[in-house]
Amino acid sequence: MRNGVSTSMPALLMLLMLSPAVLAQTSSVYPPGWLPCPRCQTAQERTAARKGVEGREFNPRDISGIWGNNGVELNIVVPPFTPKGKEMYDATRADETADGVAVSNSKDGMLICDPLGYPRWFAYNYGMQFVVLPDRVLQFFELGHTWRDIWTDGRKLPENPPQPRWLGYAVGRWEGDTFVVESTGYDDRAWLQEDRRDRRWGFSHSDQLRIVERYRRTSYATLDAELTIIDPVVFTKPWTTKATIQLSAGTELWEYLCVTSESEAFNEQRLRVQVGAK
Amino acid sequence: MKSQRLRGAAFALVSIVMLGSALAAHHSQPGFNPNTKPIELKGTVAEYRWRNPHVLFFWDVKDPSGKVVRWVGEFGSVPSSIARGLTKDTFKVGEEVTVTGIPATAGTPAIQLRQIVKADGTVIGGAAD
Repeated sequence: MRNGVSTSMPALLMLLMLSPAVLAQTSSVYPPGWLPCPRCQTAQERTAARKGVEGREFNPRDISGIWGNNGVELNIVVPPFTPKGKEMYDATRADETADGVAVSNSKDGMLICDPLGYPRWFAYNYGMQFVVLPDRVLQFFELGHTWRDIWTDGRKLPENPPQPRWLGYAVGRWEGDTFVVESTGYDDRAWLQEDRRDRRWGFSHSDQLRIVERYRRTSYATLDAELTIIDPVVFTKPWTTKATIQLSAGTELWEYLCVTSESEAFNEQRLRVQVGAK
Repeated sequence: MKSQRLRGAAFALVSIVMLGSALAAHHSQPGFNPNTKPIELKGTVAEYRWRNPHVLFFWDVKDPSGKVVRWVGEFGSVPSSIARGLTKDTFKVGEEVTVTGIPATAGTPAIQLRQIVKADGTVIGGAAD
C-alpha cells in the first residue's frame, strides 16, 4: 500500500536505519500522564510500546484503537482512466513559474485547508482511531481533527443523498471477523490522494464514487485493510489497495487542525519563495 | 534540550536522513536541485515558527554589502519534528546559527535545510516531511 517509489532494498535499509526518528533520542516533552501523538513517537518509544503489547489477547471483532502514524498510501498502480477521468486528472496539474518550475501542489485544496475527504484522510494517516459504539463505529483522524460515522444500526446507504459530503455516507457490517464498510455520496471536490510520484497532480473522483473497505484484526497490534475504489466516471475498473496497519500503541491523538491563516502564511513565505513565484 | 543534540552527525548522513523524510512530504520540493552544492550561511535566528503544516525557520544573514537578508528554511510538521527531538524551545530569537543547505534555484532566500549548528556546537539536522 506504500507508494511506488522504487528503492533498492539496501538503500531502503539504509534509509530506515538512518531515519531521523532513529537518530533522535527519547523525548521528554510530554507532561506526566500525557502520551505522544502517533507521529510524535521516536523510534525507541514506538519499539518499546509495541513490545509492551506483543502477543496480547484480542477480540477479532473489536477494532478499537489508534492505527498507523505515517500514511497508508493508496496503491499507486492506478487503473486506466476513462476519457473524463483523464481530463479530470490533467486539470489537477500544478501551476508553473515562468521558468517552468511547478509551484508545489498549487491545485491541492489541502494547502488552503479544504477538507481532505475520504479516502484521502485514511491515506494521509497521522493516526486514525476506531471507536466502537453500539450503533456505529467512529473513525477519528488526527490530521484535520475530525471524524467519520460508520453506521452499524442496519440502515441502508441513501440512493439519492441530500447533500454530498467530504466524508461520504458510510454503513458497516461484520462478515465473520471482517468489518466491511460501504460508502457513497461523496463531494467531488476532494481528491482520492495526491499523486505521490511527483506531487504535481492529484487523483480526482466523481460524485459517483463508491468505496468498499474491509478491515480484519489479525493480532492485537495489526489490522489488515483492503480498500476498493469504484468510480466508473474516472476509472475503467475498480482500484484496490491492501495494507497492514500497525497499532500505534502508547499514543493518543493530538490536535492537528489545518488553520487557514497559518497555511496561507506558509504558502506565501515558503512555497512561493522557494520557487521564485510572484 | 539534550534529546535533540545530534552532535557530530556526519553531513552525508544528514543528507540521507533528508532523502528518507522527503518521501512523506506534505508538499513536493520544487525549486531545489539536489545536485546543487550546499551553502553555509551564518546569521541570527529571526523566527522559529513552531506550527503546522511545517515548522518554519527564519534567520537573518548579512550579505557582502552589509544588507540584512532574511532567509527561510523548513522542518517537518510539528509531530514529525517532535519525533526527531525538536521542541518549541529548540531555537531562540537572536541566537547565532550556522545553517547549511541547498539554496533555491530561483535565487530567492530559501534553503532546503541540511543542518543547523548552534554557537555551542550543537548540530541539528533538518528536513521537511
